[in-house]
Amino acid sequence: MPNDGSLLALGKINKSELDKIALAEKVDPNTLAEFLTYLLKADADTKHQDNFLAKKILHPELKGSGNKSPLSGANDLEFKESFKNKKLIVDYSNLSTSDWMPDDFSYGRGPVKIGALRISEQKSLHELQFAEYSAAMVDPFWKDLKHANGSEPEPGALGANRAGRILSTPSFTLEDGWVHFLVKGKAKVYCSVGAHLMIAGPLHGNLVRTIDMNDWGWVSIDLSRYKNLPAHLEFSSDDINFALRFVLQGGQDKPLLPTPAREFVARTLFALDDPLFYQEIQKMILELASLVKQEKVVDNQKNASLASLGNLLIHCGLIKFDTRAKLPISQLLEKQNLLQAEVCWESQLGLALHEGTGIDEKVFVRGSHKSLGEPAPRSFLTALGGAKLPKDNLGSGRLQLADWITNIEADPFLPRVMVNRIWHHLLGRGIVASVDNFGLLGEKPTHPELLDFLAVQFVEDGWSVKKTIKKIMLSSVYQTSSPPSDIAKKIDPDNLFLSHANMKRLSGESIRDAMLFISGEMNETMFGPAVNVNLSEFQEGRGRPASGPLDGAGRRSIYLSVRRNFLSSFMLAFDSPIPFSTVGKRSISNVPSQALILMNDPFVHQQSEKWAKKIIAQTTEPRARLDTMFWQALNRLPSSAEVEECLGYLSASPTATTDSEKWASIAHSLWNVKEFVWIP
Amino acid sequence: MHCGNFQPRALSRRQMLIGSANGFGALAFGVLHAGENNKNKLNPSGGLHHQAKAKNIIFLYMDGAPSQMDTFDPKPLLTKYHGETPDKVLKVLPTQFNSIGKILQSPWKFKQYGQSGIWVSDLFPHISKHVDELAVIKSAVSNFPEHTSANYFLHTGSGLQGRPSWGAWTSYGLGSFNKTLPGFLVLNGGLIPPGGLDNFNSGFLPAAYQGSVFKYGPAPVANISRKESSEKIQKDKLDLVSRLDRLNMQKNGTHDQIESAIANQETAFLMQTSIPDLMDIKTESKATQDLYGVNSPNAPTKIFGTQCLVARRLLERGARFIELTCPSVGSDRWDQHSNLKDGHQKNALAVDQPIAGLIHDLKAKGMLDSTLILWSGEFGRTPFAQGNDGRDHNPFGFTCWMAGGGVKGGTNYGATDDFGYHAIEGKAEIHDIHATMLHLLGIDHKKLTFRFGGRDMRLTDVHGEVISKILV
Repeated sequence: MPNDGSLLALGKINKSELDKIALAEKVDPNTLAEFLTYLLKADADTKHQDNFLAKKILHPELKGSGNKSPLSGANDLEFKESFKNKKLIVDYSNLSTSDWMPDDFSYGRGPVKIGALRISEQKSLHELQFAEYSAAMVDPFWKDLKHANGSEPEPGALGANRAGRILSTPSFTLEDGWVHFLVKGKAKVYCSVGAHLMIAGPLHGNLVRTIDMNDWGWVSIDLSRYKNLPAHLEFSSDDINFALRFVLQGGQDKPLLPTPAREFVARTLFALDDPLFYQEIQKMILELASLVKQEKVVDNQKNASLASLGNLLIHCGLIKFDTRAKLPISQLLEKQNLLQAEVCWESQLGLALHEGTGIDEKVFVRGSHKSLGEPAPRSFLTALGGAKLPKDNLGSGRLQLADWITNIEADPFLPRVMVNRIWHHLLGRGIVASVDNFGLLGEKPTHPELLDFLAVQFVEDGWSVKKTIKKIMLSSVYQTSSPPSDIAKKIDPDNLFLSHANMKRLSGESIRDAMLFISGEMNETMFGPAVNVNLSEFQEGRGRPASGPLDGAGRRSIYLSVRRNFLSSFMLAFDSPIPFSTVGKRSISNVPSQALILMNDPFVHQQSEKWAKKIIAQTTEPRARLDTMFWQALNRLPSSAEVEECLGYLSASPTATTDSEKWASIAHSLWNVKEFVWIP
Repeated sequence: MHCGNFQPRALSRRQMLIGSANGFGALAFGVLHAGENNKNKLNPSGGLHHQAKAKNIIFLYMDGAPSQMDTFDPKPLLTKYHGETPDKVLKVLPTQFNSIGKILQSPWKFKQYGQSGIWVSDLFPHISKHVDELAVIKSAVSNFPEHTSANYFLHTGSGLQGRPSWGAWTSYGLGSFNKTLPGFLVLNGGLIPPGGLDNFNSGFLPAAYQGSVFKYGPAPVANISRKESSEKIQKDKLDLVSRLDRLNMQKNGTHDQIESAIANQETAFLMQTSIPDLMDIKTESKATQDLYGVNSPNAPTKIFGTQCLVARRLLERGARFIELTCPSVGSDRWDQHSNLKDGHQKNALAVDQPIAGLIHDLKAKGMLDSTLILWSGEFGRTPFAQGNDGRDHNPFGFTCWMAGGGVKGGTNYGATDDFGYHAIEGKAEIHDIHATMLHLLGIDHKKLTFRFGGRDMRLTDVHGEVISKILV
């Protein structure tokens, strides 16, 4: 180590002198030169974090003075003491697994522990760094995650870039309403209180804070308006400098800030005599090495100092990982690149819900949240065994609920319900007619053995919905026609025993899809973003989205967007359910508004014209055209009487209408024929 | 009523056509020739569970929540303590925006009107002439202090989105008198309330009961106008459809659903003319138009007046439940978080004369006895200011009123405290208002159920008491 203060104090680095020292100290001369340059810079700048250290090395004559000015922050004891009067909500240096609540990996697998080695990147220069504190930190590995084109980020005050970047605290009950946290970097903080209303972010703007801090600081938030309500904080950040250490509540006063680690290092070392100085550094480096190996390390100023010193030495090239830890940075980066190449960086999907603190709700007496009864421990339905959560359960219990539901050894309820729904969709009536209710108030199965047979097959087929559909559709019962026999009418008027088919009305989605398919306009692309609904001028209200194309870009109805206040009126008229709860069985209404749509809706007219155009281009012979059109719309050929009616219409139509108009009328008529919507 | 599962209309077309005055043919005729004198054809059903006092409802929805202490609930103490810090005299609870100002006196004078001596502020010079028809409920309360939830609550009995609107419940319970008119109509004055179109939806009830939102103008709903260039072209096409349908029935036999669908097509064809006709108020006399303020120089009055007049025409044609939403007055709806004086003045001006005209006209035509009118916002406002000159939301006490079929006119019901802050006497929950409304229509709110998700659902959930003191 160089200690020729007189030479270096002048700011002149003599090359041969330097080489000589380097040789003696067994260090690389270039590294040494870099280190010296760094120290000179730190020495000249009194605000530099290594100003003390540089002075110590460069000016040994200053020994002992200079550590008398007060520390810029608290020591360990003062620091802890300063929030003794507050309640700890979360301490990321000492965290139980259940309190780690990110919505994705962007904060890594857990808080970073003090002394942990991480790859840091500054101005595209990578180096390994020891963590100087335990904290929840953004993992730079994931920094390039982004929303794919066409995704719909949440609008409003919470910011669009939240999905996958949220770190929640455990839930707590607000006492006096003051919440404090020790944080640095850039982040948005959302204070989620009670069941606060969200309208493009929370109704109360003060529940969202934007944080942009170069260095550590306590942020205090006044939530006294929400006293006694349950709350948690959600931090969202994509800043690799973001770190969060403590969240506390209570009292208006801010706790103290701890002294920065580097300052502490310098103070410690500065007081020492030369020989001690080097011994101490050596000792510290050894301690640092053991610190890194330890699983459980204490987040205190001493350990922080070690990590900080280590970082300085790494920064100046004096610790090399290829010799010490056998992990050259370049190898690490290579490995990281390989891993990163496997990541799908863009997604249209984000988690809407993520795990929080598990809480047993109290019973709402007569449905009112204001009159609370006893807590109801989370468990499975008593009718299905009533399994309870294990005592040591963490989190909400949703995972266990999923396990209980899918445990068909305990109860084959799930496959029964599923195949019954498929049967309902295909045959028009479930084996259990009350498809949403297999309970006491539900209906009894008409064919219990069949239900069990299908349920067993369904599970054996790997829960394949497609295979089940195929199995049912290939059966003779599915393929019967609808006219009932005289005996059937007499002894089974409700057709419970399926001697004939039940008449079916196409769903709104199927009607629209059929029209698109027949007209040749269907776009069979799978997946991708939803298409906005084409809104009429009568669909008004707050938050009206942009109206989509009339034909929905030809996409299947399943890809029409669903916004609860701006639903497709076509679908609504044909009984697509209001999307607020599961509906296993739609009502089947038969009302004039459906006729108005089929008669006058611009989409129906548009598709009729497209279909006619296609038919005209394909064939010239009217009879052949009619055959094709009946086949396409009704899945059968026209009778001679029907052909006659259509030809009669074509010749009798006012001469002014063009050929394509006439054929569009035929097309439109076939979609208005009741057989198109009502399948016999 | 529809226990278990909803069954689609099972009448065959033949039965429908034969079926007396309520049959399809007669109704279509009724619509085509609906005039001032056709009301005898539209007989009330007499209620579902007991004798109905009213056969239909007009709900005047005062979007944004009018202030009780500036309209029907005078509070002299507000004047006495005007400008004082409210904490001195009240226990102030958190409000939506929590910008608590000083006690704020009403900018309007109150007077007593009619035989009943009901108090009304100067905001309503026209309505005040009809106070002897009104039962003023001064003790209404809501469970929600915010528009969206409170609107869902007011309209569906639940603060959450997705439940059936009370109009949907009503038409589910009673049906429509008129097959060419939906049972539940919303006349959109221009402001769709917070919560949006789901305030008018059918929730888990069949889609047929959802509210039809009619716009101001000759083509008030989507797809009511034919796209063909002439009526003949459309008629020829539909004739072809009918002939093809008939051929198909000859082959496959008749089926109730097919017959109903055929009838629906015929109805739909007629609706293309009957709906624009009913919106056309030019056939009304100038005196009638003026009564409603249809020719008012103030545009919002003109819009709301037209809606009120259309509402009467809808009643004549047998609509069950008609909701009117407010017109835009240029500033905000009744939601005066600031500038109370200007905002309330403008909103009152828009609705005062039309509502008075409606009451007057219905009475003159003998229709008020069978029509229930409800005037209400989603909650009330605070006795103290928000900022300097506004009032914040207050669900703890507000005023609404009913008039018409089965309602004891000239009644004051319930009371708020001396500042108009909390209802303290005869607290009227939204569920109670729903129960009362259904009661007047001949429906027991506990018996009007629909099984959904394994439960017999009700508009009033597990709540609701009929407010019998305001009934005749």
